[in-house]
Amino acid sequence: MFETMKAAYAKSDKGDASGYSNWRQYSTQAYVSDTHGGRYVQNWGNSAAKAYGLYENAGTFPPGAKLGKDSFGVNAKGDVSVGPLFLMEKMQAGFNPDSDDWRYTMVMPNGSVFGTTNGAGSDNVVFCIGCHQSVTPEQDNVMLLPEEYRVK
Amino acid sequence: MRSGPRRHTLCLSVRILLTFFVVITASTLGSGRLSFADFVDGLAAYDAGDLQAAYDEWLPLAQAGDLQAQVALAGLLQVGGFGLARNFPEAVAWYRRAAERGDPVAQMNLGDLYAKGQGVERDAVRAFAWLSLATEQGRDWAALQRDALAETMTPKETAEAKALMARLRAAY
Repeated sequence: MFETMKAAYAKSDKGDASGYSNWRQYSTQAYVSDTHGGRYVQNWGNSAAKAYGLYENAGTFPPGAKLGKDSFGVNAKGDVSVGPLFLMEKMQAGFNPDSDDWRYTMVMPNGSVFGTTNGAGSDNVVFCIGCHQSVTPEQDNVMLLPEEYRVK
Repeated sequence: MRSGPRRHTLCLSVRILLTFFVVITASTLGSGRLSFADFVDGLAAYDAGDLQAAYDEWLPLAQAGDLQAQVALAGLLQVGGFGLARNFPEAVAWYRRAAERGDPVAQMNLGDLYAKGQGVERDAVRAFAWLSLATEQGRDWAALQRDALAETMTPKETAEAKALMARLRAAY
């Protein structure tokens, strides 16, 4: 399934949609994410986001930190389908106070990118900001994966 | 005699109200605010795993000619999942509408579907043409697929594909 997901996201013209799988994986396996429609997701982070491995103690992320979640769905009959790739990147201070300077991008399995914060279709990903701001301020808008799936 | 002017005044008021409603509605639709809201609603539904709701939001927009919705809808039907059945022929139809208007993602995926024979009879010539048009718009993935496909094609097929590509390009 992982190869199928990578092949789908590679249709995008966003470099990170192809490169994210070279980042560090922070989930031991795919797990169900209620915040992404009950899809199975895996967590990834680039080297600038290494603090993600501290989870609740990660603090504020530096500019250049990138986090990604690839996803797939499984229906009752066991049919599997690729879901979107969710990317967030910490930008320089002042980039977007409303998102605490995170840039959100949603890459569809057909290579479409319908929105990037402060870029084309920015309004389309405003709902990402709203959801991520529901975490405690100490987590800097970052959702944490369940403890049982964390890479130690 | 006295009810005439009153009825006339009432009719005039209703007409003014109706005109006001029509102007406001047209202005809202014209500004794209309504369709924008629908597209985002569809995207949020998609994110939440409710693909049928996303389909229901995007279908009227796609039918009204919204390019973004056409590509989104086609992608939804191409991949399926979460209770929404894959429908390659319908995906092809929506990709084609968007591709003919120059959308590179639609061109890339339409070319891919032609190359694989999904939802449409396999056709290397059309696949090459659409993948090439997407390549011209900077889609690297399309270039890789196009180049791989080219190795399986005869010189005659390649020439046909390039001629078709020129015709398709001229049409949008």
